[in-house]
Amino acid sequence: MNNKKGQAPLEITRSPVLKHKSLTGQAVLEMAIFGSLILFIFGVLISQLQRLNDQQYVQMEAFRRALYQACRNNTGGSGAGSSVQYSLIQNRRYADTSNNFRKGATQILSAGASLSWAVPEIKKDTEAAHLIIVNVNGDEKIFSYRDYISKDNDRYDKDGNERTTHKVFTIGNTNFWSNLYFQETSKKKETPTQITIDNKLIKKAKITTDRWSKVEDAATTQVQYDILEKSKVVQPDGTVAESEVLLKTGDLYNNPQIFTSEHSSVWETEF
Amino acid sequence: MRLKISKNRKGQSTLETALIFIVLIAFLMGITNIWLWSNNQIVQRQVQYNNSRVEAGTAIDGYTLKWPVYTPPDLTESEVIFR
Repeated sequence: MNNKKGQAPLEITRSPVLKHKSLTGQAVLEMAIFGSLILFIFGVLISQLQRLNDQQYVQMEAFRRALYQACRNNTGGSGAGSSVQYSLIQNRRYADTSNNFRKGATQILSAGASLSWAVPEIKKDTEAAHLIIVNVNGDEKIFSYRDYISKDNDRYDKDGNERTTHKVFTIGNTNFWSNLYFQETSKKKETPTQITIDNKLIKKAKITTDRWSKVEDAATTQVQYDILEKSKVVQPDGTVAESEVLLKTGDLYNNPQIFTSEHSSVWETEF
Repeated sequence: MRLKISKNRKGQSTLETALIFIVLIAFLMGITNIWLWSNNQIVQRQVQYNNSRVEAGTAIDGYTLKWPVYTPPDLTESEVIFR
């Protein structure tokens, strides 16, 4: 090889063994990397699509149900209006992208809506109903604020003066627990029969595959409420601070739910 | 002889690229169609939701809650498979 000064070599020599190995390995490596990458992207895409759809669905459902309850529950009388605080919690099963895209474990989706209904207007001497509604997987429970907090414990008295101590009803901790049990059995039968040649039809064997799967998904949602006592406290430096004491905690929901689905299929082929 | 081997290898990679490109395009078209199908659900649901808004917020006697306002269509095979 004539290599002039300052000129790049015309050919890069490599060992024949290394050259052969690298070419074979490159194709396998490309297939492994790009194949799994495409499947991974496809999995992410499916999950993202489902999440976007479900999130929009629960947000719409929360507001629509809150609106319905607000205009149908004017418990304070005609023209009293109502104020609704709606919490929607749903366990929805998501595609398991790491296990053949089957239905996987549930995930929690939640949405909330608060609205005040005042059509045509809230009259002066009436009191708007204040409803706290919790909907867990379609099971709806309506709680009236007045059932827990009396008028004497409101923050403001009837003349509009702020009390030094008042009580508040609020939704406290919400605990979720979900467990998925998946069982799949597959049975394969092969019947070796004789090779029969009859009018150009060749029958060799029959393979039957039975597949049966069962999915159990247990979900529990515990929604707690708190009753707080809030007080105005004058600090030594003259500033006013608000202290908070937890008076009572109770359960709104603790409903274990089990979703069971079974699927079976028979696949047959003949040779 | 050396030049001949080199040419064959170039042809092989072109052939592989062409085959994989067809499969890849078909796969991407399928994914795009699934995405459009799902995105269409979001848009159509929003339209139905807005159209039923006034009725849902009017306290008329005999009104019952209508939910869901939109039932998405099934994903058909022709939408997924690029032919």
